[in-house]
Amino acid sequence: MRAEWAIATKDLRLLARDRTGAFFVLLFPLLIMVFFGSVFGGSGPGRGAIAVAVTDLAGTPLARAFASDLRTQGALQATIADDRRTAETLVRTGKAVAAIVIPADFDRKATSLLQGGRVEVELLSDPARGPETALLQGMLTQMGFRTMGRILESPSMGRDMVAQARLMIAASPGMTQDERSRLRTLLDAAEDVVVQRTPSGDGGVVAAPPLVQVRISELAREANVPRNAYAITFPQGVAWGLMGCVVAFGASLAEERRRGTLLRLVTAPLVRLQIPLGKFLGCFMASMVVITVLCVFAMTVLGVRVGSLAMLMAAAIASAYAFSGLAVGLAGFFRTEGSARSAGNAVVLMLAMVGGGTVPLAFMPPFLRTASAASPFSWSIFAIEGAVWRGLGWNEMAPSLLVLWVLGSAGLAAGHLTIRTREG
Amino acid sequence: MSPAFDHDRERDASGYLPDVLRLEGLVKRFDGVAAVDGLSLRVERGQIFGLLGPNGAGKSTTIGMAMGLLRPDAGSVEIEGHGSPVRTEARRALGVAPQSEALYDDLSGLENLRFFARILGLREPSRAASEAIERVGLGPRGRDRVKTYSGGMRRRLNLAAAILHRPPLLLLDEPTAGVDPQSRASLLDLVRSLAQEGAAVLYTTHYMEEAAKLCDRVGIMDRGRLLDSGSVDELLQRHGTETLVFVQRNGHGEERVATRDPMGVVSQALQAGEVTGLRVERPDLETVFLSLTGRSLRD
Repeated sequence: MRAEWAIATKDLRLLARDRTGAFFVLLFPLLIMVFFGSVFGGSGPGRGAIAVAVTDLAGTPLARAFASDLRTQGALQATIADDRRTAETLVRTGKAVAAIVIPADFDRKATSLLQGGRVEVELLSDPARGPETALLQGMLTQMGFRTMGRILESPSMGRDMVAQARLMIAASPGMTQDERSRLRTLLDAAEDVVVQRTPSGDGGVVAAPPLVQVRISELAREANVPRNAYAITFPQGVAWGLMGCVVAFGASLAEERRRGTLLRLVTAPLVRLQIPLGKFLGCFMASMVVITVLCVFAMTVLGVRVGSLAMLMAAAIASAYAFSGLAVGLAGFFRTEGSARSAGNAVVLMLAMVGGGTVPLAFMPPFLRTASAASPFSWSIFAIEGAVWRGLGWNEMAPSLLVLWVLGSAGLAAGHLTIRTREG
Repeated sequence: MSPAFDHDRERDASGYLPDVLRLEGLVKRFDGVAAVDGLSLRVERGQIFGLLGPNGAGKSTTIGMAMGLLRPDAGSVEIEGHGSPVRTEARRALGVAPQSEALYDDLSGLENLRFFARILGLREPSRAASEAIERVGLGPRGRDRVKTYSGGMRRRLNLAAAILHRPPLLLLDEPTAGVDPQSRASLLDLVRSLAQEGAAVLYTTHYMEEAAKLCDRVGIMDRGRLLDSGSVDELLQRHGTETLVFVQRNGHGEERVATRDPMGVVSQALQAGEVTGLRVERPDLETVFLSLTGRSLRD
């Protein structure tokens, strides 16, 4: 394995010193991933403002004001959902971190504050988004205080609230005359304050218990939908990175032939298979580095969550194996560097286009989706998507891994045969 | 190769040194045209065998078959008793300096040599690389990238890559092509010292002076055939008996005459008149080549 390792590390060193090659292998896929992710709505959940769905079941002025308060919060990106089901769907599909359901009895509960009334706002949240949920809980409580201030600032609402309290006191049988008298005095004072609008905003009710009580309901996100647009462009970025590796390593043998270094390799005491194996190993290592860098970038910077790291690793290894085989197959086929680069680019680009490397498979017409089975890109993208957001099981993932394995082995065998035939 | 190779001690009872390379009746055709036609030659230990011929004579095809890159249509190649160079053991005995500088421009000289040493399966690639680069006098530039090297330096590194594993057989295909005189002299000295250490060298060139100065034996090739081979003296004795007379006449090109009676030719030319220039050259390899092929080496 020493000779193969020597060929592989030499090729990696040459690739690292070739700025153009390194750009197309690493930087270009990264740009593709970020650019298309942004175009497809990458500024959504997971980055910056927290995306929430708001459903107002009350539709009253006080509830609308509460909803409006939520929408004007800079930390939130609120979308109004017409009903609870729509809001749930937004959370399940990963388009919102949580849904806030304003109950139908919002006004009644809010104005019965003096009788111990509490508004129960439901927060439907993805259990995987704990920190965001805690933040939302705090914000809803704060919004509750603002609503309380709004009630107290309104003379009619304040008077209604005091009137309701008087009725309740009158209707309480277990209360002594002295207790009733004291409470009425208190209510008179409260009414005076409300009518004169002396309390303003939250200041007058600092000591009051919170108006809004948040009830959190966990809502598991559907596994088979991407969390954000980058979850779609990440596998595509990987495909472009692999494409860069295929073209770079596909041309490397022709480059060796032009330089004359292939002659040294062929006349060295090596078994013929060691040369394509060394090229294969170099391409495999470069592919794994590219996938790792893109993966770390996608997870840490773009907020892509990986469903199963073990599956992602399996998909990455199988993809790197398949594309390394393809690179060796192309390397054996083309005699000159120019033809290897141009024809290699054309072949690989076509495979990438058909396989969903440029336009996601979901947006393709049915016949192209069927044709995509012929491209290793589609199997690779499907396998990576399966690990990232499709929520595939191992049995569903296995066919993709197997196809990638077969393609890689076939490419390696074809490359070995053509190199052996051509180079003697 | 060994630093203390004793030519006399190595000779067998008949006075021959052991053959390191033996080519027997080699034939190679491309599209029905024979590039090499029935070529046989032997290169002994410590011997430099110069294969001399114009472009297209079949030198590189012969070297290609000796390297195992081309499969002969007929005949055989035997390297140090290991058989054909298709065999890994035979290739282990082979050091190759191809006509093109087979180097990686973006690697340093030392990195290039370390890589080739690993490919050759050497146990201490770094040590072998350092020794080889010192040997060709590139030690101080070893860490520089090859793309910064001059043509002569690249040629020297090309040779260093061939001697990394101290092979008993060196195949050097025009190793001094396009090199400045100083680098050429240095390369020739190095090849000579390698042969003195016991390496058998098959050396192709189309520089007659180089072949005459360097090679123990020379083979004259033309149109795929080895016309004759031997030491320079032997060849001159066999074919260099004719002197070359060059006569320049008014309004005509230079006429070249190979003759055993140069004075007679000069006298006849002068009698015919209109002579504007006369030159007489003593026999050398060019004369031998002319005598064997009827044309100049540089034609």
